[in-house]
Amino acid sequence: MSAELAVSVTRWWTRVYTLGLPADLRAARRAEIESDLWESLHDPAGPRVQILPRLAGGLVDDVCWRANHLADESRLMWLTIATGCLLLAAMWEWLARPAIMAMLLESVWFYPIVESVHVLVIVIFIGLNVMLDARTLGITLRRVPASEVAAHILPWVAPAALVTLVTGMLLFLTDPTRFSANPFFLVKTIALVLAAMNLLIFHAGVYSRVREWDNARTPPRAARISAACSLALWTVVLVASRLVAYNWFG
Amino acid sequence: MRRKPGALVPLELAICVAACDLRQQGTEEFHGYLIAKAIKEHADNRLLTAYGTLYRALGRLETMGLLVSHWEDAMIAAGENRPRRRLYSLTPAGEEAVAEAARLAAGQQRAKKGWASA
Repeated sequence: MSAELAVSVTRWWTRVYTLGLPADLRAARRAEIESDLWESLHDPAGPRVQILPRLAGGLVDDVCWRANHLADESRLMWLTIATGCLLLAAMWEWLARPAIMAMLLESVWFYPIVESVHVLVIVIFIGLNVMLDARTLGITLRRVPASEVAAHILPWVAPAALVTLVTGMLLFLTDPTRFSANPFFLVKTIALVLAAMNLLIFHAGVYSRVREWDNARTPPRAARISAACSLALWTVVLVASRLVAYNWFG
Repeated sequence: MRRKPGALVPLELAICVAACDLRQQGTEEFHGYLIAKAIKEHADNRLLTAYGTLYRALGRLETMGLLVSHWEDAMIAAGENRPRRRLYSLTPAGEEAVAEAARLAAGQQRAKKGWASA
């Protein structure tokens, strides 16, 4: 790989992991890497071929450095998502065994209990999200700092998200063929993925700079757009979840 | 695992030692690339320290008060037609940390010799 391409990759990665940081911090890190790259390219005795290995060797540190600059509430969100993914992978591995699934399905109480918990927790999860989105849109709780609202709500949202994921997966595994063929389930899944991506972008982006707009009665446009998308997507998830129960296409 | 307050990881110590060496050669201030080269030469490594690892360690040392940094004058960089450098220098606390590490290493050497001759 040419040195120019290695420099471009390094610049691109630096832009990616500094995205959403406060302007001064972001500019400082990018300028420091830019200076280092320039020195590497203009050092007659310098090993230009080391640009890419130097980038690769520091990826984990870059990610850790970025994580250290996340707001405390965002760190909880990322932790929840990572835990959720691990939990789902572990459950998939365990429940995909037909014997275990058959045992669960034979129980009279299994399905109603799991479904009740799923509905109850989804109401808590989406209800709390609506409160958070309403504050981010500047509709309600306008005198309360945005970070304070998030700090009170996210510790409830995170476990609720995990329970919703786990119970949702259990319900899905009771009849994967039927759910996969249901268009409302597909709509729900796509909306869920988009909502999760919106959440991640919000926390990695505009929420990283929450100290700059914490007390603003009307948060910045990026935050409001994200909150509006969140409201729309969770509404789609909720409506699609209800419609999944009806077999209109069977 | 949390480390003891004030304890340095090998890379942090290597940065401080390389900064001391540069100072003895008359270079008071250094930028990231220069210190990466100094560490490589000092430790006889094949590769320069990775970007993420180096700048994260420099940031930690600055937070610990062992280094201070400032951005060089934009006019100097413009005059040399290159990006601005962030210049670091070792603080008295940084020098003390290097001296302390050297004392510890000497003590360990003596202890080893003592065991060997006993």
